[in-house]
Order: sequence, then structure tokens, then C-alpha cells
Amino acid sequence: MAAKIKSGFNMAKYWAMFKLNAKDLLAYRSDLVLSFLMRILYPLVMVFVWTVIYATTKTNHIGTYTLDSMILYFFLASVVNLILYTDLPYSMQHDIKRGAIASKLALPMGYVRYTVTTVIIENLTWAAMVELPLFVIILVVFKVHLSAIAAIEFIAMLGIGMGVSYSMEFTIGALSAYANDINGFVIFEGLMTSLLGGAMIPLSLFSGAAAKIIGLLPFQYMFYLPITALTNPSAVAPEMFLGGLAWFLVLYAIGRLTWRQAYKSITSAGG
Amino acid sequence: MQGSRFIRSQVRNARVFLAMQLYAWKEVLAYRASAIFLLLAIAVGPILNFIFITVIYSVSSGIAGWSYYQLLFLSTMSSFIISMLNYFSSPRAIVALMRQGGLDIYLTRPYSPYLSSLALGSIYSLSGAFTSVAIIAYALLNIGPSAASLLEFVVVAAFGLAAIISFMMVFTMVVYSLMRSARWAGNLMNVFGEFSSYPLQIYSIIGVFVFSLLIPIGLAIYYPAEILLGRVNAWVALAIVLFAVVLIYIFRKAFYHYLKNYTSAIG
Repeated sequence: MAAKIKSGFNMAKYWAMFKLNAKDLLAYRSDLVLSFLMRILYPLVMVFVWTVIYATTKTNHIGTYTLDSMILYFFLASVVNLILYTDLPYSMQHDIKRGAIASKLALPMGYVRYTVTTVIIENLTWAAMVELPLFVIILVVFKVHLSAIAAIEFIAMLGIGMGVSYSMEFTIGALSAYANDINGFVIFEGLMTSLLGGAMIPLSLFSGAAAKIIGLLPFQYMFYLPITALTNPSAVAPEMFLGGLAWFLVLYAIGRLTWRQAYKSITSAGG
Repeated sequence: MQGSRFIRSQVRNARVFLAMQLYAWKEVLAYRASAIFLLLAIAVGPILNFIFITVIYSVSSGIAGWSYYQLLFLSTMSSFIISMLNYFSSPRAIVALMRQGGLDIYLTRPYSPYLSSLALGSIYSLSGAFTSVAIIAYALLNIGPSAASLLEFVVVAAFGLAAIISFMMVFTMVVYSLMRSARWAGNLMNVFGEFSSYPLQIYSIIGVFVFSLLIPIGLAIYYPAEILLGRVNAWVALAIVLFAVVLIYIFRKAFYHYLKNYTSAIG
């Protein structure tokens, strides 16, 4: 009974954070709407580009993709993109460089838990307000038959992708204790994720050594595999989930280790 | 007399602009390791574009009428122009500065607020421009243009770049007066870059109209590329330059119009 009350209290705390974030997002409504539009415009470019490419090549399939499935891929990538990227590194950099970490360390929730929870809730707020409607529109427009297995595989793979992405971002954020500006790391990680994760182009279009190397890296769990799990669940083997979990654990451990070392070197104005 | 005063004023503006650039670089390079890493990270951007085009042409026939090197050239030209656009114009940063009343400092000084605003862009993006130039040179070696078309291309692209920068300055002012926020404007630049990475005809006549007249990014990328590839004659090139000059004049006037009506955060 006591545990139930405690868990209800915790949920109320997170719900309050969610509501606060939603209000914050809605403060600049036009900004929110335009940000949403910008997200749709990128896959729209891909619609034009790939339509011309398929027409020029005079084929129905490029790799395993038809024109419709290729377009669907890029629209889904734009949805996944919103969930994966957070302001976590910049938030940590701000706290460490400006000394705000001193007061946050005194919070009952703990700094890491508080910061990570805040950015995740920020993203979930985005997800609820922007991505979910967009996702439903995409499924309806492309007439995607969403089976239970595909939905479960997608959610599981996306969860792994989020774990991998947030662990990388947390590690970069922790580096703020050593580097003056982590912007370079953030941009580099973004570029690598875009190319090697499959946001820019489906990874199955790579061949030879490039495909083998990409298959060994953790970036594929961010875009390519969650989208493939949704659109073609049979193409995702069970060991891929295990590989993703292994990568998540490795990156999580690196993040914790980096933070532990960084924490020792942080000094605030108050000592 | 009037002419010499104008020249003196322009020389002073140019000197202030260069001094602001120098100061910005010194400020950035105060933390060398971070700056170098950031410059390197930004320099990688155009390479991704290179890989994207290469993969497209390895799995398909690409875009009709455009060979691999031609599309690589067009697409990298887009990266170059967007890098330069970011270098000279940062709507997000300028709007944030205006919200805090920071732009007022530049307005009270005895030199051009227009040039001062151009010095407030993101100087890091220059590294992306350098990588783009290297890839453009590689593509050009394989395309083999004539010296005359290369010269025409450089002139038209320079005027086109000036036109799109002027457009962004007015755009910044309009966004501030309408919304007081431009967090989404960084993404807008990227979207412009995406659209202009490919031949405008693929977006139908509407796309040609939008990216030639409403948002004149085509003047800096697509049309210069067509000139280089010998698909447009010298008269059309001249017409594009004249059109760019007219746009620069109109946008500059509009910038000062909005600046006159600008109310700062402190009233």
C-alpha cells in the first residue's frame, strides 16, 4: 500500500513536470508551429528527389525500397529525429559552466536523475504534442498496416535507440567539466548519427566494407532499425535487439564513468 | 564632394566590419582546442553530402540530365552558399540580441548598422565553406568548364549570394517584428540548403518560382551552376546579375525601413 502511494506521488511529480513543459512550449505557439513545419519540409524535399530518381532509373525498387516505402522511411525518420535529440549536453554544460550545478546537486532527486528526467520529459512533451499527431498522419496517408508485432518491435527498438542516444549525449555533457565548449562534440555526434544511423539514407543502400562497418556501430539503432522494425518487422532479427541492448549498456557505463570522473573535478564558486 | 564623402564612409564601414570580424575570431580562438574541434566538426558537414550523392549514384541513375559530378557540384555549391549565409547572417542570434536590447549598442555607433549586423553571423561556418570549396574543385576538375564560364559563374554566384544575404537580413527584421522569436530559423536555413541542393525543376514550376523570386537562393546556387555547365547564355547571366542588384537594393531599403520602426526591449 505504502509503495503504491509512493509510486502515485512520483507519477504526480513527473506529470507536473510534463504539464509545465507543455505550457512552456505553448508560450510561443507560432514558434512551435513553425518548428513543426520545418520538420515536415525536409522529408518533402526527399519526396521530390526520390520521385525523380525512381523515374530516371526506371525501376520500382531501389535496394528493398519501393518509392512509397522510401518516402515513408524519410517521414518516419523525421518523427524519430525529434525523440532522439535532446538539449541534455547543453543543459549540463550550462549547469557546469555557470555554477547552477551547485544548487541542483542539493535537490532530493539527485543531479543526474533530475537533469536526465527533465530532458526526457521535455522530449515526451514534444512527442505528445507534435510527433504523435504527425505519426498518425503518416500511418494514415501511407496506409501502413500496423501489426501488433511491428508496433512492439518498433517501440522496443526505439527505446534502445533512445538509450543509446541519451547515453552518448550524457557522456558529451559530462565532458563539459573538461572542455570549454562541447558544441563541436554535439555537432559531430549529430552528423555521425545522421549518416551512420540512417537518417540521411537507409543503411541497406550501403554495400561492401562500408555496410559491414556501419553494422558494427551503435548508430543504426537510432533510425534505421526502429524504422525497419515498423515497416518490415521480419527484417529485424532477434539478435539485433540483444546487440542494441549490449551497446546501450556499454555506452551507459561509459557515461557513468565519465560523469564520475567529471564530478570529481567540478568546483563551484561556493566551494 | 558628395562622392568622396560616400567613399570615406564606405571605407570606414569596411574597416569597422573587418575589426569586428577580427575581434570575433580572437574571441573564438581564446579557447583553441574547443574552437578547433568545433571548426573540424562543421567542416565534416559537406563530406556527408558528398557521401549521400555518391550513394545515390551507386544505386540508381540519379537525376535525369545531371551526371554524378554535376549534381555533386550543385549540391556542394548549396553547402558552400549556406555556410556563407550562416557566416554573415544569423536570424536566431540577431533576434535574441534584439530581444535583450543588445542590437541598440550597434545602432548608436557612427557606422552602418547593416554591415554591423552582417558581422554578427556564425563565424564557425567558414570551415564548412572551406570543405565545400575543396569538393567543388574536385567536381570541377571532372566537369572541365571553360575559363569564361567559370568567371561568369563566380560573378553571378557572388551577386546571388549578396541577394540571399540581404533577403535574410530583412527576414530577420520581419520575424522580430512579428514573432519576437526565431528559434526555428536555424532549421529554416537547413531547409533552404536541402531544397537548393537539387535542380529546381524537380519541384515543378512552383518550386522554380519560390526559389527564384520569393526566396532568391536559386540566384546563388542553381542559376550559377547552369551558367557553369553552359546551359544558359551570357545575356541570361547578365539579366540574373541585374535582377540580383535590384533585389539587393530593395532588401537594403526594407532593412532600414524595419530598423526605423524597431522598438528595442528597453523602449
